[in-house]
Amino acid sequence: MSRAFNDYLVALSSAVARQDGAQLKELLNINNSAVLQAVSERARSQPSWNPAATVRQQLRQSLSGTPWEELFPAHVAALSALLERKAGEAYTHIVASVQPFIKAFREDTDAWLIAPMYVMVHNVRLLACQADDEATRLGRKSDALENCGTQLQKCFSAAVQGAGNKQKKLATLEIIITLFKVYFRLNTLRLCKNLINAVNSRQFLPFEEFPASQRVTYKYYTGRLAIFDENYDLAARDLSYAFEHCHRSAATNKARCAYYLIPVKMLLGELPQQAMLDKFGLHDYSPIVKAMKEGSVEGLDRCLQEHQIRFIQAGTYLLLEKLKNSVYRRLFRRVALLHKEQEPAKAAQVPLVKFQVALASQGVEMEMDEVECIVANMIYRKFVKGYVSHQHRVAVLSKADPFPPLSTVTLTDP
Amino acid sequence: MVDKAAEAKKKAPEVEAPVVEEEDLFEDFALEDESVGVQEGEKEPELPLWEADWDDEDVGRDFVEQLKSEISRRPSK
Repeated sequence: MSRAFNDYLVALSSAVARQDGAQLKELLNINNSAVLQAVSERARSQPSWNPAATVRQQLRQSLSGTPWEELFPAHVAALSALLERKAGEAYTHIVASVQPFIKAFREDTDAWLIAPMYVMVHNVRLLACQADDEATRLGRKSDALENCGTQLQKCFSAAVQGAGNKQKKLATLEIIITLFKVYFRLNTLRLCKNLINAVNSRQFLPFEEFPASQRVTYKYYTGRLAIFDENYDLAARDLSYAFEHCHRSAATNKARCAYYLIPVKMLLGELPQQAMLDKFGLHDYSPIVKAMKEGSVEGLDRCLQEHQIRFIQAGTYLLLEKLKNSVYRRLFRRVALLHKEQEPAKAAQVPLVKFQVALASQGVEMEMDEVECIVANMIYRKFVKGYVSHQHRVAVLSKADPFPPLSTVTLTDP
Repeated sequence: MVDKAAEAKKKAPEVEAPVVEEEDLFEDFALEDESVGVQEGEKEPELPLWEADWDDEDVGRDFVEQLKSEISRRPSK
């Protein structure tokens, strides 16, 4: 017999009796090393034990007729499987604890099960990831994470209804974040849409009522989704929110926000200061910032080439590639400025050959038709105001604001 | 782009580890310690992080030199 294990079961029923949500959350956390230790000790004292049956037997008296009578045995069975490194089995057991938990959550009128809900969804996701890793290793079909999405959706339905106590809706955002993590890993991003709609709906609690940690995480994901949707203004807004509200002690997360915020801001015409890149260790972007300032097409190409795989994996490659128009614009602008110094009388008529020479000076050799095409495209996308005279091979610049702010240009493909 | 991505995948093994982890998910703010992440973010005076007026009217002398050398390098055109 194991004293620690018995104490654990006593603590569980006591937390339920006292409706101590913080305590129950602690006890149900699958990373709680004291609990794992207790279960492991119990298993060693009787290797042939049946965890679920043992727990059910021991808790019969105190929790009979409640959802906990189902939940705790399944939870301990999951821990026991986890300790035996059987992730798939652990996942099956933890899933068996979800339904009784939802039942308890629905019946709860004191809203004390919000914190335990956090740890429930956390457990389900972590074990699903481990189960899928195990399945992949063994060459089996990995579908736990997909199933996890279904389980979490059930949790979400219960929380969003807030039956019996509207406060229970406070559990929703954490569930949504966990679902985002699942959908990002499964690459089923369209499934995030309904959740975002729920958050934006009028029945949802005011966003500011949720803890900052959840708000920051939520905005990080909605910001990244907006990048995929090519909605860069929204992406900048959400990622800025996440970046600015992220606690400074959470350095990795803050750097992660910056990692996505920087390319979006660059696209909208704002560059990160070197100090910012230094602070968050984002030196991948240094050559890009330099290329933007100098109008170095070659510099941008080289950096994209060099870090291509990294940028593709992070999902920023397409975004960074879009900076090319801004770089062309910067180079063209410098050419136009120099042309103005050389021939003030004809300042508004920039010979395309000068642009061609500037490109060639970077080692970017182009035919005249291609150069003309690039300039025409810049005009079409409102990077430059004016028109191209094909006959004279010049770009005629508009008198008013020939180089409008980058925040007003067209970034998406028609 | 599709080709580039496919190519990239083939080449993948020889490349150094990415900065953003393979699974670029947001870390959970410490589940046990609610004080982390729960408070509002930093309000202390920050370094200036962004630069908005970089696309200026300055041609840059190095740029002029670069162009001159390119022009002299070219056959009369």
